[in-house]
Amino acid sequence: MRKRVVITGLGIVSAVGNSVPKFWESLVEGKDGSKEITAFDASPYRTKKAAEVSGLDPQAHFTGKELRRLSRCDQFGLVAFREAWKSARLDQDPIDKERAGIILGAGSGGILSVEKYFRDFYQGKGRPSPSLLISYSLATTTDLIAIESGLKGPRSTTATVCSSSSASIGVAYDMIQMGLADVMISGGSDSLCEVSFSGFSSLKLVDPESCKPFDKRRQGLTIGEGAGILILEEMEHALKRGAQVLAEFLGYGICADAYHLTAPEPNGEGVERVIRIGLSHAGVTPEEVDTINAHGTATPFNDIAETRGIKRVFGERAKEIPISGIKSMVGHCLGSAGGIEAIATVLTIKNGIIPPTIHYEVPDPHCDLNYTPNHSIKKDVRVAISNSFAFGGNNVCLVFGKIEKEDSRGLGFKGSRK
Amino acid sequence: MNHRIVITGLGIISPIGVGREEFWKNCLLGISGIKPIQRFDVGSSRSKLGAQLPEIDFKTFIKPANLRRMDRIGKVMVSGVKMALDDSGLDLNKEDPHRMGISIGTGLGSSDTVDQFFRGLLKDGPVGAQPLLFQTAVPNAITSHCAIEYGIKGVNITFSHKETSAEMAIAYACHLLREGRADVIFAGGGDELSEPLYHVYSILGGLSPGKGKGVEGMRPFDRDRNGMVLGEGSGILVLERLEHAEERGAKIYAEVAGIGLSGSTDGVLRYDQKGNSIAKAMSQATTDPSMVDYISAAANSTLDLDRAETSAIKQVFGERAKEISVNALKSILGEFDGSGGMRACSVALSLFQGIIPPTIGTEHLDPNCDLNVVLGQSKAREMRSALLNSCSNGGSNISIWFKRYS
Repeated sequence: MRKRVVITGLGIVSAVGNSVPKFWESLVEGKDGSKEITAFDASPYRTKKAAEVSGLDPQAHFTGKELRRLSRCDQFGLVAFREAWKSARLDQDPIDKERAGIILGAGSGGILSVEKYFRDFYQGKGRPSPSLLISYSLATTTDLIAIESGLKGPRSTTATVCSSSSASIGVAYDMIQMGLADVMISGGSDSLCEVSFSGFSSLKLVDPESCKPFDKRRQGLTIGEGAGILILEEMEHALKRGAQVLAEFLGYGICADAYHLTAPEPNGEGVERVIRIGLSHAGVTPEEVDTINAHGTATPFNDIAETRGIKRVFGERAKEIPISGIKSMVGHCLGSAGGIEAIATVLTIKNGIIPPTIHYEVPDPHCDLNYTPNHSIKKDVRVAISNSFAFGGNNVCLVFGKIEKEDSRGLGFKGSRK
Repeated sequence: MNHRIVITGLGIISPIGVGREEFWKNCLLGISGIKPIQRFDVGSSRSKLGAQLPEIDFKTFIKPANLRRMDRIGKVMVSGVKMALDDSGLDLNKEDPHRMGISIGTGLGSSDTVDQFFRGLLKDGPVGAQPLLFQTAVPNAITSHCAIEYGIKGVNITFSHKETSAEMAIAYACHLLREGRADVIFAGGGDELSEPLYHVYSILGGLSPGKGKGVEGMRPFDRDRNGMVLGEGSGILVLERLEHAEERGAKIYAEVAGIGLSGSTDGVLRYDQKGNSIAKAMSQATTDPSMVDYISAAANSTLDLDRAETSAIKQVFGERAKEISVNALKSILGEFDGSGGMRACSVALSLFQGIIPPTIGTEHLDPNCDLNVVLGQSKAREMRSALLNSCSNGGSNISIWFKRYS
């Protein structure tokens, strides 16, 4: 018998808000987080915009000594973690730290710092600070959060980049299933850096203007940054301490296209499979899915493959399911994209509001579904899925369910769970 | 559902041999993979050693047309999977590709490619950023190469958590198999010894001969140890549900019986200091400590880790600790984040053949590390079960319990 796992805390740093309430307000309003890049000199690039985090004062969160050692990625991760930890009331409730762990997803991680070091080192400019190198490992942010909160449970980091933090939520869930933990922190953090920006630009996957998922004029992504941290908790554990329960994490799918290093399988076969695996693991039927948080990168091929995959699973009903492409607002946050989108999905369920896909004007005959264009809509959502796909066809689909006060234990999901 | 999991294939590309047979022969002979680094110029650094891979003719393993899309570490990983696949006797035409998966642990994956990409960007700006390099520079590219090459369409995941990366990949794969979410998963890890990685380690500290005096070298548990030597390579296990393996009459090396994971919180560049957390992972992995006859230690010639691990072994096994044979395979292969793949292969072979490879380089056992260390020469011993330990600086600890299959 599998344990039931619920979400009891959320924390976020993003281009559209550095707290969960602000982030959600922006999503509901359809706010575009992209702006002129300041993290590095973007003047030689065709695209000069990114969904950069702003309004976060590092001095308000860290001491000068800490700041010398923390990469931008670490800072985002720690700030988001603190909000999540507090919102789950774990700063007050005594829990067994031996049974609390962390699995985060990483993307380019602390490369911004390492990039600074090697830029100076290779160009023979003085002696760069060795502390810039602490972030060489993708595990650094994970370790820093674990150390700050004293977590003695399972700890690791997933490294599938664009699907990393979605995968981390799945792995964290399985740590609870393995009986190794009651509470798991998951999600991810990532920061803008020139290496990944130039890489996506060189592959011509970045839109010089706004990111327009599923729109016929789309030319690619807007790179974003930030952190999205979720607290997963075994349901009985959460109930016993009277924690807020935001949604249930019902299960997930993970699989590969095994098709190409960068291009998705064009017919949506991999997308179809990962959604089906996720739904079957979660014990829900396609008919029960009320909304989809799309991967929706706005690259020409991804959006078609995702649309086709959704149609293959949901058939005629596909057109009725509202789909959100929030990368149009928060950008593609790479290692934290899945975490940030999972938070949006949990909030969608909790608030009964589906955030829009903005910048949507010209329909594409190849992408003919309901993408919730430009304005959020109200809808009671009982089951929601969040898709993430990465280079190499690394696919993840997360399935969340609404908690309703129904069963004898005071709450429960009414779906057709096995 | 609670399926039993067995190891049915091994693929190894190591500094001491390409392929299971050559690797194992040299492991048992205690032949060191550590030599002066030749892949790049170490300049005036006092750390000149590394366990590097030999020149490998990858055409033996991979179709030449497909080789073009892979960088060096990509080729190393795909070749490892190819050897594991061949060793397992699995017929891909008969298997359901959706029930086969891949789970890999690595530090940075293609760290050479990342470096090349970065240098291009530095030299020529945006036009110097080469798309073909970028697509292989992401850490999961090595896993994707393997999935694409063999049409592995089930679970696909890459972990990167310092020295526990590959053990995590194995642990996760075992959980999925146990729940019946796959039939076969290729699991393990790999890394390459690249110039920037070497530079990072030499600046952050940790490399032999360290700051003090002494001779450079890998000497786990030795009183004169002075840091580690880096290595590279790949080690891949074919993990399979027992029923599935039995149905096809597969050769079985060993069984995976338990997994333990824990975290210590002593510092972002520190190992578990007292060993309590390492002990916890070992205890979680083994439901019956009296069955453990052998421990493949995480020991990497670092004072803190050698001592913490010794303390942990004593905490878990008490008086019986002396009866347990311990070796440190990193003395032969060097240290790298994805080293757990090769070390797991070695544990499987030990259980299968009843012999333990030696810890080499260690001459004067640290009195604080008074374990039953297999020194100098390999040791024949019939074993009922063995533990594979891994510990990362920063504080992740993973133990995997392997049983002799019977």
